[in-house]
Amino acid sequence: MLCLLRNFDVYAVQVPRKKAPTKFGFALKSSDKVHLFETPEDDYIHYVCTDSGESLRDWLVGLRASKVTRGGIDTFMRSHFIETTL
Amino acid sequence: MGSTPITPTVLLTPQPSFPTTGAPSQPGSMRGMALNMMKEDDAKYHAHENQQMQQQLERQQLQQAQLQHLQQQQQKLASVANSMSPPGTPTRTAAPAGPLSPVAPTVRLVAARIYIQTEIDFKSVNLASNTTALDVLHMLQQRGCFGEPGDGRYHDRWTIFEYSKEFMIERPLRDFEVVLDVIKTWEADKDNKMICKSFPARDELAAKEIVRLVGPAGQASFVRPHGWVHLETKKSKWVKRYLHATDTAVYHSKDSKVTRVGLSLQIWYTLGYVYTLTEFLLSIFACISI
Repeated sequence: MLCLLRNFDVYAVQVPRKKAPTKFGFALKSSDKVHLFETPEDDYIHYVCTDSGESLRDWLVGLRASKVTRGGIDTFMRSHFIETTL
Repeated sequence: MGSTPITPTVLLTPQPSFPTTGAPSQPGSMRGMALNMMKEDDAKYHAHENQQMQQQLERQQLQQAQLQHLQQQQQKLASVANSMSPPGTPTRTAAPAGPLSPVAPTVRLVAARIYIQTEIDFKSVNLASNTTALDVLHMLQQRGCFGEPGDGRYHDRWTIFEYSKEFMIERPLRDFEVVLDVIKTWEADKDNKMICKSFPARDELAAKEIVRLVGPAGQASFVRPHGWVHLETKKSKWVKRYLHATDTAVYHSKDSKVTRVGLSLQIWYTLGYVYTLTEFLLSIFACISI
């Protein structure tokens, strides 16, 4: 397992990593405090590169959607008077 | 960061009219017609903005009236207490508000900086424990941070990004994310910022779009991302891995076969066939034992 979705967020990488195979990178960083990790250099943040811009976009959108719980969206929609029925 | 107690009615009003949630602009056949349409939209938008400002003023007036009423009550209570207390006892200048106070319960707000476009210009906003990213965008829009109609800054793609200078990474906040919850995750000694800037794919961050993507049936019908990627296992060491996300975690493996088995098992599990198979096997064992 690489990481849990519950406490990791998906980030776009602004500057490509050193020796990165492609320039299409994203990162999975923990939202927990760094001192909770025994080996933060290995577990706190994970860098990933995709082969194309399209697949990078798919990963970013897909992982963001995977993180969302239905209950969280419903609460937001109720508070902002948005219809949940599609 | 400081905190100021204030009544929740000032900032926690829902404002569903942020232009980003509107329909995309239709391509016009004539330049003049398109300009007229834009002007009409601007006029409507300004009318709505004025209405919102008037409502806010009314609320503030009501709040001031309530505060005056409370102060009068406190003065009366203090005078009664003074008249009842024996001479020589210290007077109470501020009586605590009783349970039947007309003022609404206070909400603790936290002031936070939201940088606009660059890492230099910022605006301070007061965040409650449930203020979402969309609420902050509304606040900034009301304060004119996104320009006026006609200039280049005036567009509907403004988005709040969480930016980490330490790792040089950023992510756009989705409309429904609570900003204070994100700020709480930051390390105190690191340079993290909330930066507001344009994001072309802003529609993807709206709750409605994510519900559409995930599907009305929930996460069960949503095909999660999976495929071959390059993963940095150690510093400057990249390896090719098969990455796939489940409903709770992201997994990586050297071979996609293992993952496929796992995925297919997950699908069968979702459909309920695993339960059926288990029950079938159990019934066979029960028959054999009998």
